Amino acid sequence: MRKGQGNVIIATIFAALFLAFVLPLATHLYTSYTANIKTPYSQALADVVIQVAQRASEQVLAIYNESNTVLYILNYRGKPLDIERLIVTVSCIEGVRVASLKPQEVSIPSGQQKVLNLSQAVALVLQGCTKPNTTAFYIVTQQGTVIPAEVISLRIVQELQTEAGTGFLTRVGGGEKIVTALPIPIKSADQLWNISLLQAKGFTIATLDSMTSPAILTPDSTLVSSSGMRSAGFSWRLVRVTSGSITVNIGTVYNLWFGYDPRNTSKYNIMFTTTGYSPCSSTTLSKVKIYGFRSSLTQGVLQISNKWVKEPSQDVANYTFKNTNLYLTGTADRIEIYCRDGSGEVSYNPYTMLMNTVRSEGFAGLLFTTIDRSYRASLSSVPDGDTSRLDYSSKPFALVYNYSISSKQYTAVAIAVNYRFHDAEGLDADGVKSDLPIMLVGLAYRDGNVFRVYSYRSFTFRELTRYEDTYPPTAQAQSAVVFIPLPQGVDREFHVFIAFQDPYNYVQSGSYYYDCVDFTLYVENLSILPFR
Amino acid sequence: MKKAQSELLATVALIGLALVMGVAIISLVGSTIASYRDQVLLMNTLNTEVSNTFVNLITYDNTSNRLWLLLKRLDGSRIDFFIAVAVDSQYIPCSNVRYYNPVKDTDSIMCNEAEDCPAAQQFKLASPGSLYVPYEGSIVSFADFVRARNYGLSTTSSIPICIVKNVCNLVSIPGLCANNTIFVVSIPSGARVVRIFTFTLFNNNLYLVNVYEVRLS
Repeated sequence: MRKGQGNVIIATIFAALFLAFVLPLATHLYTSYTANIKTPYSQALADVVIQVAQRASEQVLAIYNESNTVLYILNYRGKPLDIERLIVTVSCIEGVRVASLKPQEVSIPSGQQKVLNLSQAVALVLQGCTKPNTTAFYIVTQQGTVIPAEVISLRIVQELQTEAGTGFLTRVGGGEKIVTALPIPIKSADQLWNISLLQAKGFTIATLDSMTSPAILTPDSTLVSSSGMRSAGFSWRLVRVTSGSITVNIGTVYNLWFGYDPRNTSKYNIMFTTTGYSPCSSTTLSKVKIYGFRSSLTQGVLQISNKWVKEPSQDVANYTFKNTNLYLTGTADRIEIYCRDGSGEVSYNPYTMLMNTVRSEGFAGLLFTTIDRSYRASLSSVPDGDTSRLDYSSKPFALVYNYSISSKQYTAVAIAVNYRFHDAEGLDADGVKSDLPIMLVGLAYRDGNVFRVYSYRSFTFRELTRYEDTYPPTAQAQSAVVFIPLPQGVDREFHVFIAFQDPYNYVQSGSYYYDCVDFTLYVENLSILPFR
Repeated sequence: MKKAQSELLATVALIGLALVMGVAIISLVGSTIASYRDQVLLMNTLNTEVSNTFVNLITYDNTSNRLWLLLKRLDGSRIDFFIAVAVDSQYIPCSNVRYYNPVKDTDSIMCNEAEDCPAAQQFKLASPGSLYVPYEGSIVSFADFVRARNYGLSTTSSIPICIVKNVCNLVSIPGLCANNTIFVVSIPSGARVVRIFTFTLFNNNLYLVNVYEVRLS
């Protein structure tokens, strides 16, 4: 081998080693570097940020009261809540406004609550806004979180407003309206003493063909003039109507019902029963109805059992079965004296009174009572002491409210009724052989001259007597909501009705008497909630 | 040729070869690392932007078809926002995007005065191929991204890229800026989905950093 050949071999080995090790190394470097570049791009991170922001809104309780423009915030998210601004959406007749408010206090530590009064800031936003309605409220934090606040409004419980043109009382709330049939709106010139007044307040006075299985409501105005109520013996006879000064000072008053005069709540409506009230004869059961009474004494309205009564009780049975002395003196707009010496059928007028047990001027509830004298505690006696004083209905008294609910426009109706009931049957449900309806609430539609009952809910004696105590007298406040879906595909105008009656005269079985219930029913409220 | 001459020649040739190869390898590794650094920087920027910038819905006013949103930079910098807005299958022009300027608002009601809500400026009308999206580990074009996500958007029509000014540039507040930028988008009635695309600018290219979706129905 020559000397130069060895060098060439060395050079070849060197080149081979270089190609075998260095080049792959460099290539590996390149691929591994570029592979490392492919770090997962974290799209999910943004989602996490937003999720955290959204979770924050669940840990903050915010309520905005539209009525007094106060924002309540309770922060319990474990870190301070730094408010940057408040975003309010207000809907006006002129259009929608989206406003940005800067509150004074901006940081609320965790576990604390703040009340922010925004009256000044909101007043600026509401300038030139007709019928403002806050539709949405948001808190924007410095971290970019958007926290919705619950908006509450007192519109629902605000004053009743008359629907334009119709005269019906409606309230707009929760997207739907509430139509109030009872209490009825009363003006100062209204003649409360005749329940025919109800006809001028949007009601049709009618009677039902049957209270146990009602089908037809027939308008019947004689219920307020001459018919509807009977008694086993004598009937009520109106003997005197006066006005002006009155003084009652009697040793025994049996029952007394009393409320505010809806025309003027500084006056009172009073009804009481006694014996021998002039001009009734000395042994004749008497009933006195006093409208618009104003006491001339400052101690109270009237004195019963030598104790002054300053205001009516919401429990209408509070002054029932008293058998004690009564004293009152003052002036009255109208005094009616009834003697129990008439005969034949009479109207519902002697049994009813429009009054109010709460001081809300301009609104009246309806009181109906057949209690005259006393309750009974055993089957061998009768309430009111004598079968001749037991009253009962010959025709149910029904009120059909003229407000019509179209099945085209609405899918269902909820009828809410608030009432009080008190009876003179000390044995309650055990004193009756048959359970009969006292009150009905339902829907009817017009068919020619009559109304046909579409659906109803009955309130029978056994149900009503469960929630009262005959003695000591207690008429519990009771209420019910009757939900009636409307027929679809039929174009019909429905009307809400309420009907009541005293179905019980008496049944004698040996020395025992059954079905001789007399009672008091006071309907405070009848509201209609149509659903779209 | 003499024997000594041939040895010298061989040695020179070997040294020359070694030098050439060495230089080639150094430049190869150097350029690889430089391009790697560029890509790392891009990825870092995108990752920072993703965790820094977000969109949040405030409210939707369906009476005037306006969508109120906020843009937020968590790092407190004053960089303006590059966004594109798509409503269902259409991109909407920058004139439909307005941002709230609290300095010019005198009555607290947003966007009812002449100057309290300037319209967003159009940065450029970009073709979907000239926008980039970091997607599934690599960089793809916006057109491919839109197709992959099945957004139902056109992959050929130009996209108006709008500049929403960071509110911190409207108000002279020293130091870091922590405020939210509120903006409003006017959308056609009956819209079902609104998508807000946020972009960031890197080496004169726009990269998508976020998509915020609002479903209206």
